[in-house]
Amino acid sequence: MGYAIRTEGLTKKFGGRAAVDQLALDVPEGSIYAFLGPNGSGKTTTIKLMMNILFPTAGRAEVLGVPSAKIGPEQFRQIGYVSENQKIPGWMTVPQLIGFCKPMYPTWDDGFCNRLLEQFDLPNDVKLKSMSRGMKVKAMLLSSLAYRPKLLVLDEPFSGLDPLVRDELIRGILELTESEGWTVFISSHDIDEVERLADWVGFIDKGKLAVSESKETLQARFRQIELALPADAHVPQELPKEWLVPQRAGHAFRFVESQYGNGSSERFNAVFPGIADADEQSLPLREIYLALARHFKGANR
Amino acid sequence: MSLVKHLLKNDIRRLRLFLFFWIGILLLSAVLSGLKATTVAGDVLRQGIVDMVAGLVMAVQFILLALIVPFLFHSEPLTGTTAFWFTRPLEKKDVLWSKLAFLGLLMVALPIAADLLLYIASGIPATLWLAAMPDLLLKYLGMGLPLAAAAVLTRNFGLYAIVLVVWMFVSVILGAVASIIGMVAEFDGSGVDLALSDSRQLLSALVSILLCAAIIAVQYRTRKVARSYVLLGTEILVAFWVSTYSPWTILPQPTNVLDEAGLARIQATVEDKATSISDAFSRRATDTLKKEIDGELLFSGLPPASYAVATKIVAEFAIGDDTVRSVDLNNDIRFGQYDVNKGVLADAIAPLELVEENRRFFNSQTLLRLDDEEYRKYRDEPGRYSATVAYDVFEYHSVASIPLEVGARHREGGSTFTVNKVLKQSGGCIVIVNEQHFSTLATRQRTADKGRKFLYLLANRKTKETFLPKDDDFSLQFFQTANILEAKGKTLRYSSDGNNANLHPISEAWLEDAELMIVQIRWLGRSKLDVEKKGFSFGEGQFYSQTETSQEEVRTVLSDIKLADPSDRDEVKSYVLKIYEASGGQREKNPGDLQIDMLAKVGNIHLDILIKTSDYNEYYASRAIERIALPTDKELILANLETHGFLVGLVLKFGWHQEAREMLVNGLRTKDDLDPEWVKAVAGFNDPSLYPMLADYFVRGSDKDEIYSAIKDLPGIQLDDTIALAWEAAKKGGSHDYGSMIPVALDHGILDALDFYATTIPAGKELCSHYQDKVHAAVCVHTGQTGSDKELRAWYAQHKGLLRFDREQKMFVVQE
Repeated sequence: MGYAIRTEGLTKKFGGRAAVDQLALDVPEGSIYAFLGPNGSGKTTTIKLMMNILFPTAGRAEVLGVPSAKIGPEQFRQIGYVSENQKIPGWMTVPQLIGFCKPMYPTWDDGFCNRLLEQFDLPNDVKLKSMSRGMKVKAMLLSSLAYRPKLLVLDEPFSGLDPLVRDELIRGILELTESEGWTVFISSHDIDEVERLADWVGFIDKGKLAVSESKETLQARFRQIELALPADAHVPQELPKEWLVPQRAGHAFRFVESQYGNGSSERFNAVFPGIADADEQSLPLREIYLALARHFKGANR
Repeated sequence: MSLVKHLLKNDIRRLRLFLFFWIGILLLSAVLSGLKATTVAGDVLRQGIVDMVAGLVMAVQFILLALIVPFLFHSEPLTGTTAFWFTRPLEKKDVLWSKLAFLGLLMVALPIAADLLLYIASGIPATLWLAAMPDLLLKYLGMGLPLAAAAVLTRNFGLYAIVLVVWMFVSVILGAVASIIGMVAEFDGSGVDLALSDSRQLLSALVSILLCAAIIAVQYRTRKVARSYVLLGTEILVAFWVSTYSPWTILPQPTNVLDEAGLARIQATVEDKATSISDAFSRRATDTLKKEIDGELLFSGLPPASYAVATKIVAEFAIGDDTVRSVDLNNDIRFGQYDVNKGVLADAIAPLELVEENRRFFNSQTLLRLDDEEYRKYRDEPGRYSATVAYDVFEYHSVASIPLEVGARHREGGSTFTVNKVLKQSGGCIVIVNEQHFSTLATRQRTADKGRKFLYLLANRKTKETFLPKDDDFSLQFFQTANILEAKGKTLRYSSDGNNANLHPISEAWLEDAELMIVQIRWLGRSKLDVEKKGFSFGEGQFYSQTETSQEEVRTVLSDIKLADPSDRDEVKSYVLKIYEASGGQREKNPGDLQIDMLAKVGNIHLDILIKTSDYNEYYASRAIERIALPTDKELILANLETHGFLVGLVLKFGWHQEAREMLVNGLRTKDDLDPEWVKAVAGFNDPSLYPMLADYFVRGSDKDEIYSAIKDLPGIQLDDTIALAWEAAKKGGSHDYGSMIPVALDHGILDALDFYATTIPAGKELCSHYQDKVHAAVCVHTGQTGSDKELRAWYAQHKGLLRFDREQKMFVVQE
């Protein structure tokens, strides 16, 4: 399997504090990789390190097979980048933006560009600075897609957009990536918006990568387990480390099994011998993310 | 390359509104500069308005530049992490070249083109304005690159403004420090010459440009802003050091026009007495009180039509082995102006005649500056003055004459002189001249006398008369572009008032043939020489008071001054000085004044004290000395004769002529302002070999009537030519000169002297009261007429043209 992005021991410190800490990340080619984490977890810093906007304190990153420090015009002709906090040339209209960007990309596809224009329904005579946030994101996406990039890097692209626009954009990206076979690296703190998109998922918390795997395997190994405890049941202090966020509420006991099918029955029987009746439910990505987030928060505490 | 063009076009489109204003401002600036350069001094009000508008336009030009540059660079910023172009396929070097192309074409080349347009419109030859290209490049790069450097260090206008303000603030602080250092150097006399100060400016500008370019290059290469801030700090410090301390003179020093032999011929002497003594104005609070001793420094051996000006005097004064060193005296003439040396000017414009009442040029300047304490110690005795004098030599050089018509123009190299206005009026005229000079950093003349380089004479070749302007002001209007084209208006007021309006009138008819003569004050060279004067004394002036005191007030003060009995020498000296000090404000002196008695009271035993302090008030001292001196004082008197000329009266009184002969003859040969008794003493030798010397002194000395009395009856002396020469000189001089000379000239049958009395004096020439009776008596004697001056003048008017001189009767008689 080839990788569009790989990082190894990637570290960035600001004034001694690590914003990104020993990050090892692999983004398979053709995947839609959701890079998730709470606000301030290091997502944007990681992306800026990959794009050679920031310089790493230690470690390395490779994008499209090139060390990030050497990424130049040749690579950027194959990378589409849209970020929520990117400065846009506000004085331009959409046609002017297209006119400005087009000469930089030999692969610029006018037909595709027109299709996108139509699809995004962007006005021709309004300056970017006067457009709504959704329109601006669409314009930036347009200028980042029209040359058919191999890698699309989206840094919190949907933040602050109303649900209708967000849905429209997600559908648009899904359609395009499916038909073009691009690699998409999308960062977000909102799981719902990327759940439909992603086939790979990475969780970052406080600069450290907690999880990085395909959505399928991730969802397969996480289960919500709930059981009713007998009156004299005793819950030991030390529980298996695979059990995340265990909770007891009266007779009910609940936890998230993070290695379901991988010795999970043995662990259960060892802790609760004689209890056979437990309810097992698969989890949506959002719940897995929350479980992991709470787990790390508790661990840090 | 196509991307560079693409980005450049994009920037031009984005900033088109700014560029529209920028081009407009450049054109407006060029038009206003042209207007200023050509119509300068035409109309003060209009010029003032043009000045204000031009100043405003210049400010707007800079503000626009300071706005456009950051907007240019901030569209693709180099700092921060959110720039649009960071993730686009743009080479940093392409972005850099596009920005530099914009800056170079629109912010540098365009203003240069506007300046060149101005030069071409001003008629500056192509060879000259092409030579100005480096200066213009320096100017506009020097303005644009620092702004660009501040722009590449920031990502938005707010940060840019902060960086710029901090940069300017630090530069202003360092500039103030540099200026204080410069001021201290000026005070200490260690100021630098123009070539070095211009070199420092040039190097500082180059360093600034190079380091700003380095900041831009480093930022585009690495985007590591900390490194660039270090470079910025380096730029500020290095530019400061270079502009203040750099020892490298890379611009040419002026080369002497005079060769070594010509300079070696120049000598200088000082008169044996100081002309004035004054309290030195203390320019620094830490200065101790000082006295400045001024005297005449006379240069000789100069080339024709030239004069010298001392620029630095390193002097000392010694009495015996006791030596005091003066503070070095810097006479920086770069920014000063000097009086016109009319005698030299008259020679330079010959055969035209300079119509001036007084051509005497006093080259009086400070010869010594001593602490007050040192002054008190040395003031009473003559000593040896020695100095090393650095000087500049200038020449009056007639460049051209242009008609007295509006628009008349003369071009001389990079200089253009245009008559802008001629206002003729009764007895004179006002001419407004626009003086333009074009010079570049490489070709600029770094010679002395920056203030005045040209004189303008109103000349009439038919009458052979020329007039210097009564007013020769720098006009307030002054214009410069990048120190290259400099234009100044000169308002020249010419008037024949006071210049014997009847003999030398500036009438309408006279002005018909008049022209404006341009005389260049040309620098010939710079050198040093040593001056030594034995027997130099500080002279009088110490007790001259600006406030006049009445005789009554003086008597009251004098009544409190008592001489103790007995008194030691210090008490006697103090007593004498108190008398002089009390008399400082007394304007009228008489032989019967109390001071003479009081001074004489010190007695013959203290005669030397009276002689040594006589400079403070020679009038009273000489009379007191005459009263108490005895034949036994011969040695003391003769020893002081050279420095105290009034002692010649005692030489005559006691018959010491022969013993003093050498000193008397030497004084007659070298001095200009001798006591007439001195001349009598020399005449008393009845030696025909001394006659030429006596005749020569008669022409150059004052009190001509008394000198004439002393020499006229010497056996075999021929004075006709001498008298004619002396009369020609005297009638152009002051009232003392012609007043004392008219009786002598009449005695020798010079009709011009009678005409001068009858027509010139009533037309406005003053005749001082001392000579009025003498002249009146002489006219009566030599015409045989009686009556008032009016009646005598009427008689002359009636018989003018019929008069001839009867040598036997020594009278002017009417020839029918």
